[in-house]
Amino acid sequence: MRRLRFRDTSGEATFDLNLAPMMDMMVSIIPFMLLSATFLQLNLINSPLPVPVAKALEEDRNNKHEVSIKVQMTSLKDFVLEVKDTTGKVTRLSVPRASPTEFDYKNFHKKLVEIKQNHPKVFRLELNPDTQVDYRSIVATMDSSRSMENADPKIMIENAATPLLFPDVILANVMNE
Amino acid sequence: MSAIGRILKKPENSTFPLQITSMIDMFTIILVFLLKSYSSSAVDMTPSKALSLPSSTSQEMVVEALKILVTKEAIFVDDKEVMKLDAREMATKDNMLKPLYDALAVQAEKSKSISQKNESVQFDGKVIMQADQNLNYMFLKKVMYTSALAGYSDFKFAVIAK
Repeated sequence: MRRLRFRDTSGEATFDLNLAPMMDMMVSIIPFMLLSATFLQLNLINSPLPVPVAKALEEDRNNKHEVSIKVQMTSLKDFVLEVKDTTGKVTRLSVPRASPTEFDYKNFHKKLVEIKQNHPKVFRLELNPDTQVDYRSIVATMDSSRSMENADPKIMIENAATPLLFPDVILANVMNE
Repeated sequence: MSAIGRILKKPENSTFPLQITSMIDMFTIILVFLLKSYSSSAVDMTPSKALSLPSSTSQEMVVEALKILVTKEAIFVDDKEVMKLDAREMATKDNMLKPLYDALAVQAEKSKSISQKNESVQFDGKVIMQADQNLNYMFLKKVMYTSALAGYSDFKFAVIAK
């Protein structure tokens, strides 16, 4: 009969794990991920509008515009606003430049708030910059006209205050020759 | 020990096993953090070095669309240069930029043929415009006019979030 053989347990049971290949892999992956990582994450904040405001905005987008608000940005850094109301009456306002090189966005915003108080259900604004106006100023004007600020008086649509001023800014003279 | 004894003495083993376990631990932590923060979004928009984008308070998210890049020197469509920006040429009354129109027409044709074969893809005429903040509206107007003629009339301006 064959003798039972037992495993020899007296030898070394531990061994050194070869971590060199793992190190190689880590050293390759980590620089790649560091290079392609985006540490600045862009997100959206979901904040639905109050129902009456959303309804008014939708109506304004779908309907024919009886009230029109036109803004001209002159090469001399002045704003010229033209408001045509439902009766066809045209009101002109102007916002002179803050300095020879800068538009007066603060006063422009104030004028827009005044217009909004008279026409709360209008959300569209036609922007007509002169050809010499720089792109940065156009973006800043869009920013000034997009939403209400904390210091602005509350404008109510039915029973809800609107956080929006004129979010639909249209560059109206793009197709003009 | 005498000097001769020191010379005759066998040298000690100068190699030793490197303890890299702690380094592996550190690498594993970094790797897990990077994998968690890795973005695999389909929308890839990298601001070009050749232009400085304006900053804005807008919170709209970037969408997938054709990219037009307008620097002070040239106009690019999807990272391919289509024309140089010559101030004298741009000062002319004609708003139409022929090389840009041709490039956009090719892109529009391509998108339309894809949308015919794949119903889930629709040609919506969206275009993301990355333009230098110091450019005059005259340049942008011509680019937008030409884009609109080529079928791209839904403009999105790329800005840096404030």
